[in-house]
Amino acid sequence: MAESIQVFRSIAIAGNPNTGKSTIFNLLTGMRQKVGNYPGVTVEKKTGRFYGSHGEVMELLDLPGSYSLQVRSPDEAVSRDVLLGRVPGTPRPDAIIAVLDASNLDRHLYLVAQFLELEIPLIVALNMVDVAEERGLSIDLLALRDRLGVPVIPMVASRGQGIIELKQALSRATLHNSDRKAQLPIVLEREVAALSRILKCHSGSVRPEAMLLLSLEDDRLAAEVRGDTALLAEIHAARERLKLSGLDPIAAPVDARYAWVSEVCASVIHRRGEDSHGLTFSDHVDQILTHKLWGWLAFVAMMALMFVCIFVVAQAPMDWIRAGIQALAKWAGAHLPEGDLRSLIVDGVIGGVGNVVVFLPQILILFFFLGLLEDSGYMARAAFIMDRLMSRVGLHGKSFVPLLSSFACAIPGIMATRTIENRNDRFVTILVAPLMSCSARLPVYAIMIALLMPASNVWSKAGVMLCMYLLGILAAFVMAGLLKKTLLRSETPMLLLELPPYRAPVVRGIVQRMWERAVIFLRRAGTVILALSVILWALLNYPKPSTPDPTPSETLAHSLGGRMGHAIEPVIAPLGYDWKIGIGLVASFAAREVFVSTMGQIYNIEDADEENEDLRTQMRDERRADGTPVFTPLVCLSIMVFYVLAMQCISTVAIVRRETNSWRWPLFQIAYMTVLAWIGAFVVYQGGRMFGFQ
Amino acid sequence: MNETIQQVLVAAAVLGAVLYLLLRGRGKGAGKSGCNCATKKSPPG
Repeated sequence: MAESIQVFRSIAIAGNPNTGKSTIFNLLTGMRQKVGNYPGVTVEKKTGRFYGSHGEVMELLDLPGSYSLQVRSPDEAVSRDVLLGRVPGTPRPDAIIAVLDASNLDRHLYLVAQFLELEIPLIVALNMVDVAEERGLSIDLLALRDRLGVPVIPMVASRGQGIIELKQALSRATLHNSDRKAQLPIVLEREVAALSRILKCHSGSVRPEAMLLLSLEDDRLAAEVRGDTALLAEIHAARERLKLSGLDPIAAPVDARYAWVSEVCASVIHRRGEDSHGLTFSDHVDQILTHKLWGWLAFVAMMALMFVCIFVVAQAPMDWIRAGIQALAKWAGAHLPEGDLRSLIVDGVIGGVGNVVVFLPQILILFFFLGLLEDSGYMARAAFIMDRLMSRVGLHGKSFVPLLSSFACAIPGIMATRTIENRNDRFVTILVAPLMSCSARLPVYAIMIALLMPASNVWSKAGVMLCMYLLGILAAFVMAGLLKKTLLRSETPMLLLELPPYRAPVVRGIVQRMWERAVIFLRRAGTVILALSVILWALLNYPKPSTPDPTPSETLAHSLGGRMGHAIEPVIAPLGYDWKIGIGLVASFAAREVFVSTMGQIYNIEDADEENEDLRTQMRDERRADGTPVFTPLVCLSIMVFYVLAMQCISTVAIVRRETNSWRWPLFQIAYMTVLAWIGAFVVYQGGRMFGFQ
Repeated sequence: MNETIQQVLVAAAVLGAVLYLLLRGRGKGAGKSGCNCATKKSPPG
């Protein structure tokens, strides 16, 4: 039914990355969004509908962020192709909303210069005018409107300001092409016009296509003309003529646009609030936070503070949840008749899911901090500090954002590598991204740290956790360096990073993201973890021993899970693990946090006759046959190191398969990470024993 | 509760869990992976 609605205007929303395009898209379309993929590429296509000021239906397309139409990545290619009307199934838009960051107008106007050449009506959404104001930039809107020849709407999208004015501008009966644009050299204009006449363009505008073809580098040009030798010859001839008249066909239009941008900026931007050295507040703070030494100290201090909060603040809510789950298990145990069904519900469902749900407060605090660091603008500084390290191993600066996202979960991290244009750099980033400690490892680290140092203060616990995160980062860098020197060689590209001004984080936005995380975490606990827990319970309880009245330990040892644990025991014994930990390792190949739920189930089955005890106490009391504790400090450390380095997440494997379009890379990734994890755990355990530790 | 009924319920739960895990991967669009990550991450901007 929705398809039969008459669409008044189709609009594309475009701009540089991080200008607030998606915020404006969400403000306009609300929940009426559709997400798909562009044909042939793994670039997300997001469309939505909204009503204009007079109730007319508008279709909005959110284009991937790009710096220019001279593309360098698949994302940017999609933006350009949509605007040129080249994408099958996506008609050329009737209008473009160009979203600009008012505080970085000089950099963002270049793309506007190219949009003006496209001959599509343009509306400029000048976002973050509040930030520009704070930075002491005053933008003359009337002058800007006059210079661009298009409507300019000042906006603060994060607060919804300017959205009504934007809708009004989009609802105008007619939108005109601007006649203002960067003045290209006359010879170049003449060649563009000549080439336009030759081009038989199926759709869209011929002139922008001609402009693009004339200014492409040779290798990209060959790909663009797709074997049309006659056209290629024409283009080469035109370029030769341009060169003869002293013009570089690639650099000339770029220079002309930059000259135009400088001219526009000079006439519309007025600066104030800078100190005698021309430095703003952000510049002063950056002198410390991006300093070679202080920058690192500040980074480590912030991470340490984050982990301390994870332990201290989360303690009370975790105790409440734990008490609630124990009470529920006790109640269910008392009300269900003895038998397998009670064991399934108490040990499998409540024990399995409950032991994972307990970690919700810690995960929420992690996301609170990540949101705070991101919103305040600190993340870009962290990228800057990290780039010094990353460039040493030949990793692209752009790899930092995917790696940073991987602290939350490797999957958005791996999807974010699409912005890396070089294939080898992108694959290296994908291959090392799961080494960054994701939130699913948090439960494993937390329970191991609780066993490792039950009486220590929070700073020591936070220190150990910080070390695990740093170990992951270090492993990622070392592996990236190795891969760049062997399998995936390529030049080290330079990093071009924009440091946004610091701003006060919007608490509402952060709380909203935490809420989303909580929903995702609980949904996962109620679906995947629940299903895995039920299967695990069956594996740990069947087949039953044939002896009458077997003890819980006999049942466990005789079960399929127990036999699996025993089967891999020779491989994991050098790491200090017994067969029960082995069951946890095997089970957590599906998802890391399943380790905790497996341990919960194993000890619940074994201690079936005892009062419901806390998992930590059960694990602490676990003894080997010779009476020595199983979870010695060395074993706990060895397990943590194993989990830092091992690839234990089916979802990540699936996403790597999709992003690399082959099984070769995910299988290689599983193999190298498992070997690395085994070696790491072995070195910790055996090395520790050599030095007399236990 | 009768032991047979208990066993039928247990078997149904285990079968349901296996089927859920097997079938959940089917018919999902791009970007849905069932992980504990943000459901979708659009390109920056």
